[in-house]
Amino acid sequence: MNSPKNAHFKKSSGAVTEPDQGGGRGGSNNSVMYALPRDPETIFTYWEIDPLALTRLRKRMEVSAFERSKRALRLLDVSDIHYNGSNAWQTEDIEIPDSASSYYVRVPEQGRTYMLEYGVIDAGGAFFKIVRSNSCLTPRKGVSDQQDKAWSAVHSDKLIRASTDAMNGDIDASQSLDAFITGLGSVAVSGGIA
Amino acid sequence: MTRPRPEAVDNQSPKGWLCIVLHAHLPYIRHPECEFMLEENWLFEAITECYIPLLAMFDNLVNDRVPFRITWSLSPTLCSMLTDPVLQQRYVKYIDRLINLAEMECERTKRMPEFRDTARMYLDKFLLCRKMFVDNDSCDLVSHFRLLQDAGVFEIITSAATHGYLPALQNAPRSARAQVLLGKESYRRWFGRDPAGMWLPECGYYPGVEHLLSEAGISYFFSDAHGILFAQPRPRYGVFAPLICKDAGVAAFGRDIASSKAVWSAKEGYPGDYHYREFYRDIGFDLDIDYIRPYIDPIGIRSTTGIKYYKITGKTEDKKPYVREEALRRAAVHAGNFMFNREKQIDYCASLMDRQPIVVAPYDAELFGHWWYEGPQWLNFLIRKMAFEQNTVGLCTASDYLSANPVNQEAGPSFSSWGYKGYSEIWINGSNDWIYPQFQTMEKRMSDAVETHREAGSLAKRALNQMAREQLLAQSSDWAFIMKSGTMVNYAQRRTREHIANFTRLADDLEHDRLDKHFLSLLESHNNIFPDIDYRVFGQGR
Repeated sequence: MNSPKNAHFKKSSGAVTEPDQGGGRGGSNNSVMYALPRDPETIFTYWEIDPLALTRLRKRMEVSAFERSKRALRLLDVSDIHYNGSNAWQTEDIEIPDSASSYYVRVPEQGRTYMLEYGVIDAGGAFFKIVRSNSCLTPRKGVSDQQDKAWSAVHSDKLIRASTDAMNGDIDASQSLDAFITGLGSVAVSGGIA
Repeated sequence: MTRPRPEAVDNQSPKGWLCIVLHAHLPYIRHPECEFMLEENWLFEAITECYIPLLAMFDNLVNDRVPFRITWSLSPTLCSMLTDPVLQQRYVKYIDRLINLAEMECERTKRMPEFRDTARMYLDKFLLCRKMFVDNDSCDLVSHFRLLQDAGVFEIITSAATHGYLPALQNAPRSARAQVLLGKESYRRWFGRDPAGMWLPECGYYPGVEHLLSEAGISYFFSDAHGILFAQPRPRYGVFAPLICKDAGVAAFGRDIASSKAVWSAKEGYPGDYHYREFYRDIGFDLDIDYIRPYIDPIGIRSTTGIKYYKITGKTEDKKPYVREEALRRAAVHAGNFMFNREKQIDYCASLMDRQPIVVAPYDAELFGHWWYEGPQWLNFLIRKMAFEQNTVGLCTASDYLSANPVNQEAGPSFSSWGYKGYSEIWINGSNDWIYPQFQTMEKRMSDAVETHREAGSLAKRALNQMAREQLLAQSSDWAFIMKSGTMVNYAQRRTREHIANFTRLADDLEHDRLDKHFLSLLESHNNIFPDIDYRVFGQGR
């Protein structure tokens, strides 16, 4: 299993979620939520909440508890698993404004698969889910460690270094890659004639 | 003419290959309802400054029997505009006005030796544009491209239907699929064959798009360098050989950074040379308003005319007059430098590889002649020098390379684009992210409508087809890009909102069985891209 490396990705407390499949729809309500990877560190998520779902949740929680609760997103690391509602590698809760309908979520680790849930957190830290997004894969920003035995070669590192426009033998592969990654997108000027 | 195809390798075969890709694209801008719309000039400027100078240059290469292979990506929106009678007629008026202005400029500068040769240069160029456009090509530049493809010197590939940025459509899979399938189908109409490759708008790749390309019968695409370098497993040859996407059989070629920097980079790139023409000093801004008024926006807002008399000179406001001969000498020097660097690059890579390396150099076609005035001549010098002054590097297309090297490493490329920071930040940020929930809504409503109206009657079918057009037009990557770039933002926002509103009204009317024939006809005549569209392209697919 592919477990996360980042020790700072803390597990959330109390999860009150019914197991259902991700994919945008809110199960028994008409809420929808989507997650779109923007770059290795960021997911753009947006949603539309069915007012009836909030009404039902208000009834499900005690009214006073609902009034004291905060709107929140729950980030779930679901890399290499079929998420069943409780088996995420890690979760993290992010409080958001009540009025928000979209959010940029910083992810703790690149190259992993995430889902998001929209819901509320009560005073005790328990999360009540309203809707869950699709899963999305953030890209890995770096050369893969995985070698293809059929295509491995002694000069692979040199060719990768040359691909970053660093043919100078004094620069090692990791330095040239760092410079390359820092400069990503700096040599393209798209936009046609406007 | 002789085509230097890689399969024809022999003792004289080069050590490696250079694949130059010119990506030509403009968003669909056509306003028959207005006498003058400034944004339509983007097309007319591109025809005058880029497409015709480049086509004329390539014609000369063919006439001089210089062997070459160049890849062009022509977006479906651009082809639609280039074949549109309204825009063709407007271009003739546009070039006639410019000829008139250039004649006045020749008269005005006849006693100004520092400017008169440049004025004459513009007049000659505009006359050439008119001759080529009207007399040679019967106002249809797409036919000119097709002829050069049929002659074996161009490989023309397609792009997504309205240049939708596909990584941002991951959650709208029917839209992403329609963008790809219509990109292929529209190509057939213009070029009478299937496209071998597809230009992914903004080089935007996400894992899974290769299955859409495979369904469309596309053999290859281009990604930015890190799409290949960060592939899983790691690429044996870096970007100097393609990868085959697992389970899809589609080849991915990675952009070479060194050859990109030489042309694109604001700091290191050739186009910033002292002697090259300065883009921002245009007589539309420099000359007296009463003199220039007939040639700019009729309401009197100053705009560019394309006539510019100064050279870059350096970081100073005191610009020196442009001298064409000096600029062309620099273009020749820069072509030689580019070729020398590619020879060294190929020499080095070939020494490490058990096959011929390929260097992929994609550029926006509109860079050549518009932003970089001497760009077409630089390309001209480069192609001629490569043909006659060295044997290390040959010009080829991605198809040529795949024919000669059918077995390639399988891997999964990484999500990437050629935008700022290499991913989607340009197209997904606080200035433009409001469009994505709207796209999602349209995706859902279109999907529902397709399922509900599998066999629609005549009027409903027209409405559904127009809904498909409006949805696709809203998805052009250009609108999100412009919203972020901060210039012409109002136009980009207005276009996006209009297409969404048009779609929504049609969808509402269709649902309530109250379609307005007049409104529908109006949209069909204004937003008339893809006349043969079948809304069922938004069906479920595989």
